[in-house]
Amino acid sequence: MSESHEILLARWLSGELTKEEQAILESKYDLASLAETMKGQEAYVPEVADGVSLWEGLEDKRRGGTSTKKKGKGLYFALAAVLIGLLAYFLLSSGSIEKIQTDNKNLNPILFADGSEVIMGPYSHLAYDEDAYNLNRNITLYGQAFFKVEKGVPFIVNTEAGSVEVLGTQFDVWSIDSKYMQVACLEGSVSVKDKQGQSRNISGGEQVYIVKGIIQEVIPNIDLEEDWRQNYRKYHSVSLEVLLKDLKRFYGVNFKSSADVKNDQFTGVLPINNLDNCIRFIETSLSYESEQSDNQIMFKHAK
Amino acid sequence: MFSIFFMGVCEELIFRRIFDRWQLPLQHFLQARGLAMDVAADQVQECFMRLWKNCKTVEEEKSQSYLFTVAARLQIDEYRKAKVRLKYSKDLAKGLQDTKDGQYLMEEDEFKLKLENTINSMNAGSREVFMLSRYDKMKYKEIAEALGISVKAVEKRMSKALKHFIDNKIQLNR
Repeated sequence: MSESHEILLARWLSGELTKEEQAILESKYDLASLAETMKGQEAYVPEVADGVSLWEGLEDKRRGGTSTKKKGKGLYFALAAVLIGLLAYFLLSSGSIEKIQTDNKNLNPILFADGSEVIMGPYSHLAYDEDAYNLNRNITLYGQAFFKVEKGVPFIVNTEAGSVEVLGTQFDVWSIDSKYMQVACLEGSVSVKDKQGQSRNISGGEQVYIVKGIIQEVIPNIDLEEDWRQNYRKYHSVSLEVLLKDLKRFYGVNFKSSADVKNDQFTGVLPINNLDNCIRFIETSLSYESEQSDNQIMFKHAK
Repeated sequence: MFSIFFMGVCEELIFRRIFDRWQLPLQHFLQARGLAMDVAADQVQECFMRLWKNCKTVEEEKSQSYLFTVAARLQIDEYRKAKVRLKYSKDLAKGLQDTKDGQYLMEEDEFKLKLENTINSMNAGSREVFMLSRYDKMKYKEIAEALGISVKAVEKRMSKALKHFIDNKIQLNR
């Protein structure tokens, strides 16, 4: 009994008590006076930092600058620092980092200055230094993209899970996770490196995966029909967690899985333009069942 | 259907929304754990910096528990530092009192003083819950999610806080 007493006061305040519980509590405490106290307490709000200046300070930090939080004495120092910072910024980088983001619709090819071409997958991010592009073609990618690279200085695609280096070729890169990456080469040859520094060379028609952070053996003879640009995605021993994360990219739906199946592996081809078929494929190949609720699809073991 | 943006927390607008929603509760939370106002504010910034750096790996729905977990860790670090630096007293609540200067104290009425003493003298767990519930109007369920404890544990801590008020016989002067 006394155990349950321990939570009654909290429930009284949130108005969740039954009549009996209310009676028990009233017999023990002067609730009216406590209610009065709580009313009074509301009026006294502890002093906090102002949200706007907090955000501004955060902005500074995020840009890698120094915090201008301490106003007054340090104002001139701060001004000088900002000026020097700005100068350095313009001199060194000229603010030329080009960022490209895609949604699920606009997937037009992007042309680089040297004639190289990239077709980005849905919900992908790509960034590169526009000014330095002619010196080092260094690109950062999150998501998926197909590259057609003109010959020239090394063209490097960096992702969370690894990097791809090429001279001039056509290839497709997919990486949405720090442990998993997929590179398919259509023409010429590319070198794929995982974060451990192990690398593999693949040439036209070959494919390589990074699974759990480690680069796998080269797979020959890729089927170009099973390509995301043809509305199919091929997965190779990818965990369910990563698979669902990737499908969200195409369907814009939140996929969830129960904890016990999260690390199940999936290998196979899934459509990326037909949600019902896609769900059915996953259900039958892994013997799951799915539950749909508002904007969320949950996978679990079939009973 | 396609309203969800894939990049989640990395998306500027979403990050801003998370900031606007949680900066105040986090400040209250850190103050409840004994940090002075300006230190708490700095650490809240640090929490969001870490969230930003890890925005690719933290899902939007999980950002709040991520933030509170980071905040708790930062507070412990800060507390350890303070202990070395100032040979800080064992009382976690001391920071809360330190924020007030003398003149300010004189202007406060008796109720406020007693209120602060009561809040400062309850145990840290109860104080966290009490402040999030009372100042941020967070529901017990929301607090439980943020702190990664059960709703029942939240209710227990909150009840303890209220019991502390009763025991201290704090009353509003009318």
